[in-house]
Amino acid sequence: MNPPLVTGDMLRAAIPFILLAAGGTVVSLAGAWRSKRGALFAALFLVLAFWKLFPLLDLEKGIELWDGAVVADRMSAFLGGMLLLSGLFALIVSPPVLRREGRNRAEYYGLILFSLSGMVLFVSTTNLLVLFLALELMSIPLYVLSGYNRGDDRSGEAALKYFLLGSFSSAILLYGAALLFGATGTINMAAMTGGDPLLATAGAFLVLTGFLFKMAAVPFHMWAPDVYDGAPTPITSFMATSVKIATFGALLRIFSLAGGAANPFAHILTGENAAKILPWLAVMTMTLGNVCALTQTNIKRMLAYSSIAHAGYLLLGLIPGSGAVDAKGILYYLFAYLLMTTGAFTVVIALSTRDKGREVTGVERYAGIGFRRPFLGIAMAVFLFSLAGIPPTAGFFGKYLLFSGAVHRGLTPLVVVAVLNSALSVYYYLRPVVVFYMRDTDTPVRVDDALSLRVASLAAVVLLIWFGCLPNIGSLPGVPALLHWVGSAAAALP
Amino acid sequence: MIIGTENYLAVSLLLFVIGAVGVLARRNLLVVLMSVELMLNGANLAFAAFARARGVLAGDVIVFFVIAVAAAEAAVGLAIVVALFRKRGTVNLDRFTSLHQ
Repeated sequence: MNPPLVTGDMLRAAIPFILLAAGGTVVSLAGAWRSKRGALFAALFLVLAFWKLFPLLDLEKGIELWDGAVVADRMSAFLGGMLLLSGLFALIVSPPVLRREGRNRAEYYGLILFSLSGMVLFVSTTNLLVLFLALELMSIPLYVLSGYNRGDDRSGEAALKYFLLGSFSSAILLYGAALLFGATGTINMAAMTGGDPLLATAGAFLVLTGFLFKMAAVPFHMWAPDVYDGAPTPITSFMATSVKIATFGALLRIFSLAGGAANPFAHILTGENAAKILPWLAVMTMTLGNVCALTQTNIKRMLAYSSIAHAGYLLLGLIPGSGAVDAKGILYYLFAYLLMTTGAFTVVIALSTRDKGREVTGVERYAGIGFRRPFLGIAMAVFLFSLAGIPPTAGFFGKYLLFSGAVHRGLTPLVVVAVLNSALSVYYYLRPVVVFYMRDTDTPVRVDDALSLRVASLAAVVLLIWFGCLPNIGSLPGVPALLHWVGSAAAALP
Repeated sequence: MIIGTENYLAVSLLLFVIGAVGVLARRNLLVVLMSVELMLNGANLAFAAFARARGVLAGDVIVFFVIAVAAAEAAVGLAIVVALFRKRGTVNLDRFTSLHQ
């Protein structure tokens, strides 16, 4: 007898994916009647999806959905959880900003849900068609969202720039997918073997190039500072975190397939000459990100360059060296990166003001904030310390895992460069803290005291320190519990 | 004369390269948008040619999806261009420089 086409397990595993896409539709439509409540509706769907995703963390074995096009396993559950957390932060911090500008509409939240549904699919697939569709589903709403602030010229330009380079990179990825299909005759990357080596390698390189564009790795990073600067700050925060999680998550899944020597991606990772490309990219990305961040006076641009540098650190984990891809280190680092970056952007939102419709985010304006607003000062200090990798924060622990993993895989020279880079980064991460506490002005600074901003930054601070140093306390999960989840998610990969 | 897969592939590569050069070199936004479409269609042609050569239907299916996605992308891209044109009265890429300050 044939096995049943759809089982209860499959339906249960598919629900989070469906909820996000359905949520996007419902929230956008409901906006026609209840436009003011968009954030609440969207949060409802998000929390539901989160709740349905949670049991998948304990799956014994991955469940293949839609004829194997999408795989629900512990890896996609963990990455999906992080993506939803990033989306939840965006839903919490957006309303104060949008209300300030009188454009708190439901479409905005609907687009966030659509984008999230694309990202969750993106990290759960090895099918070229679904990969491309998910990539576009996550990107197209982000193009719109980065131009959401129509009163500001820079927002429109950010949308344009993101759209042009985004669609350019999607087209490159698609051409790579065509070559991979031509070489191997299948669109399932897990089943790809052999084929014409020239076509397969060229295809794998083009697909990788598409990914590098999305994660803003050098030399495909030019768009990131401008787009991060021009987009509305909650969206900057959302895309800085979730797009990175999505691209690195998808790459982890694809690269872990390269264990089979005949897989096209094995040419890139373990081939004679090709193996040298990723290390160079990692070094260039982290160095250029850090060096450019040194001279920035606009905090959004500084954080943009810092996110490029973090992509460089994360790329270290993707280099197999003498072992396999370091999924564990990457996942822990992504979790820390998510919290510290969203947190830092939340403080930027609370402190930003507008001048003639333009957002002003210069660092020098923050003089004396540390004493006048103790909580914001301390929160920002924690986020920046964590970004710089100073203990006892999760940023430090993540970096430690990533770097020590790389040393074990025989990548010591790269780790030396990475450590030097993080020493360099301390300089620019500490500068805002210095301005916060050591300078003072008489000009009063307007601070947005919205409750949601405070809740979001408090949550980020607590989680960062909690998962940076605390053990499991009773039934409350601490560092060991997170390590366990990360480890079991990583073990779900082939 | 037999037109083989490699001929289709050559044309598709040509389309893709023309599109890529167009995106990088042209300054008129509408031309740039069209160039992106050319790149996608180059990939489509490659998919269709490979699907035919290998007798695998998946490649043809992808082409349909890509056509739909390209339409969605073009809609969003044109909306962004129109919004910018209303504000600035130009579609020349070199005039959009307010992010460099």
